[in-house]
Amino acid sequence: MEPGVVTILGACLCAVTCVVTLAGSDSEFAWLEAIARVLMVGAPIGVGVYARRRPPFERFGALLIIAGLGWFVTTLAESSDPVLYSTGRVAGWIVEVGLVYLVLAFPLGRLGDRIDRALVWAGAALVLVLYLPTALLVEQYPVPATWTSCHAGCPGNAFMVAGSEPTVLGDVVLPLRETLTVLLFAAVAGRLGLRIRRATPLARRALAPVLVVACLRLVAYALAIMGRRIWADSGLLEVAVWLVALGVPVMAGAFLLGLWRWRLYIATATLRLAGRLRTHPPPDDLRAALAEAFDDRSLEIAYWLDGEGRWADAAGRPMALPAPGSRRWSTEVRDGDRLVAMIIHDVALRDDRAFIDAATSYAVLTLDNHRLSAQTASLLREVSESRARIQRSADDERRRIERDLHDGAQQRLVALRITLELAAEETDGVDVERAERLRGLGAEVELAIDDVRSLARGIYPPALADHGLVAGLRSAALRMPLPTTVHADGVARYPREVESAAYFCCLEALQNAAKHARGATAAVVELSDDAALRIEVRDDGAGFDVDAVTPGVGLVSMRDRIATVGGSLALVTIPGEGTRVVATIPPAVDRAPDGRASGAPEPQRPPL
Amino acid sequence: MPQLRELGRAPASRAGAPGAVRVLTVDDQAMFREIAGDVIAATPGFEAVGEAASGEEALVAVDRLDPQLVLLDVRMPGIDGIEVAGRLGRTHPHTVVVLISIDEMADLPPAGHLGADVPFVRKQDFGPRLLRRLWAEYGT
Repeated sequence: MEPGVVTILGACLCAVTCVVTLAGSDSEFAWLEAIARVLMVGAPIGVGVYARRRPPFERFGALLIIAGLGWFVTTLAESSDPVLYSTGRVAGWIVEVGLVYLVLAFPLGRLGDRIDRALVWAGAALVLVLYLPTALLVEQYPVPATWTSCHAGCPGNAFMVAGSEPTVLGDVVLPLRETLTVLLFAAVAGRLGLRIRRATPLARRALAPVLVVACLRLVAYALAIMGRRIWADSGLLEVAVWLVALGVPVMAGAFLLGLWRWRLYIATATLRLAGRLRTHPPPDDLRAALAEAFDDRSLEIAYWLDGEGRWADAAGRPMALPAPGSRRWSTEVRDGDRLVAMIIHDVALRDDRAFIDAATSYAVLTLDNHRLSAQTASLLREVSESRARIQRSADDERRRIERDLHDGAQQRLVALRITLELAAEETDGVDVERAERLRGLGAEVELAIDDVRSLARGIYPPALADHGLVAGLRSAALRMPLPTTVHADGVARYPREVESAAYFCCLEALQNAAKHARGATAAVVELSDDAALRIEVRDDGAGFDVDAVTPGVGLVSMRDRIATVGGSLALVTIPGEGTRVVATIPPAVDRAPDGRASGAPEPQRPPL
Repeated sequence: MPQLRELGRAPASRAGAPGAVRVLTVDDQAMFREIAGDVIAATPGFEAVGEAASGEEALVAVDRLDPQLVLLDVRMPGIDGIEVAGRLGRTHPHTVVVLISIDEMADLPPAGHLGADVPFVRKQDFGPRLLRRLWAEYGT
């Protein structure tokens, strides 16, 4: 319905209410009563019209308008006509259920969960079973009552069909239903209190005024019911009854205040967020800004990688979205039709749709930038992972070849060599010349053995394969033309690809030193592994001017080798002060955050 | 419990004379175990008492066969020769252990903790002459 129409309708209803009250009341305060009744109708409709035009409260606004119409019917209880009076009194019972619904459905106009629905159904059942049927059985409705200012000489019940009022009504039904009603209201207030405790600051702001008014009205209601029994004619009872009645417009005011506070919070938080996002902050700052705005420190952002069809964090690492039904909620961020990111936050924030929409629309540009970076990072990771895989399989192949040579050709040659020696031994006493020939053959075979061994060693040194980097380097150092010392105290075992990358890099550096370092008399290999594995190869040669020399294949292959395991390589040389090659390889956790095993069966790092 | 392979295999043709030096060959390579057996059989005064194909088998075999000389390959899967030599040095101090390998000593992990008592020979140098020399040098 058009807001204008509703407003006019509401004004008409207020006017009718005013007239009915003034006509029905013989009190000297008839005007005051009329104003109160007009407020009971006008306030909910007015707030409803306001909320109806403010997303996301449209639904709640509509409910308020409907409730206002219901309260209009209750004002008929001010009439002196028995039918109108009785209609108003019966409507008074029904609208209480409506009020319970409103309180529980605030601020989005929907009941949250099973408990809320159960409370509303309990209220409806109470009215259906213990209130409505009594309209057919009583001569008079109990007074004083919320919905009428009539005290004595009120019109009779127009709906009575029974001949006389059953005594069980006054003795059992009335006390029972009044007790149950107070209990129900208390449960609703308790439920609201619980919701506030668990709510986000935003929802808390909106709910607090409603809770306060609901509690006050509950107390007034209980007082009025007790008062009717205990101090039937006291002024206190009169006050309590009016408080319950005025509780309706005050509740409407509380709804309005809650909505204002909600909007104010959103405005402030979005402004603050907008301010922080103006500079397109880096991923961590963006996350922090959103986490602050959403008041959820555990908030996470997953970026959608178009090409790969998966979610990733800002560094391109794969990320899983929370499973449905968990305490985490995912809010999609789209730029037009294009999926950009997913904000993963506490499920309690799900209701703050308007705020989430505002916040995400501010963040969408920055998020999209980060999504592109994440995509690039993911591609880079893929490239470097595939490079590492290729290197790993090349290393595996080298190891296999070395193993095959060791177990095959070398063993056969050795067997041949020993057989020749055996034969020579047997021939010794018989034919010395023949024995010498056999020994000569044996020497030839020995040369072949040396050749094969040196070939195998070049392919993949056995010491490196069996005993790791340090043993491999120590063994290599023994064969270096330049006297080489290895310092590697306490250096642990590493995944195979790290060890082989480090080994072949050192070997290359040592060979370079032997070949190119003019005047070098010694080289030193120094290994340490605090946070990262650090390798330094230095010589005491003449050094050179880096800018004057084009980097050779050796340096490039060293760099590539180290890069496959996520490390970096630096060449430091000053003419006259020797050359240092320094490689640093970060621990495996930094290289493969997805936790995939990276080659060796167990990275044997000592506990730090 | 590691399985003993051909333990105690001592064919009649190879049975040494009484008082012959009892030799155990340990190598994961069957080819070398066989040729070593031939060498031992061809060397008077020596007797092959068994073979083991791994470090684990070697430890059990030494307990069971009580050899005087153990030819121990360095590179073996599982417990390697250096480790076995270390353990035997503690449990059987009177057994002579000789490390053998197809690799050069420089290619092997440092075995300094074994001390100079454990001789190292290259497989290709192995033969009756070397066997006799080893026993002459370390066996008494």
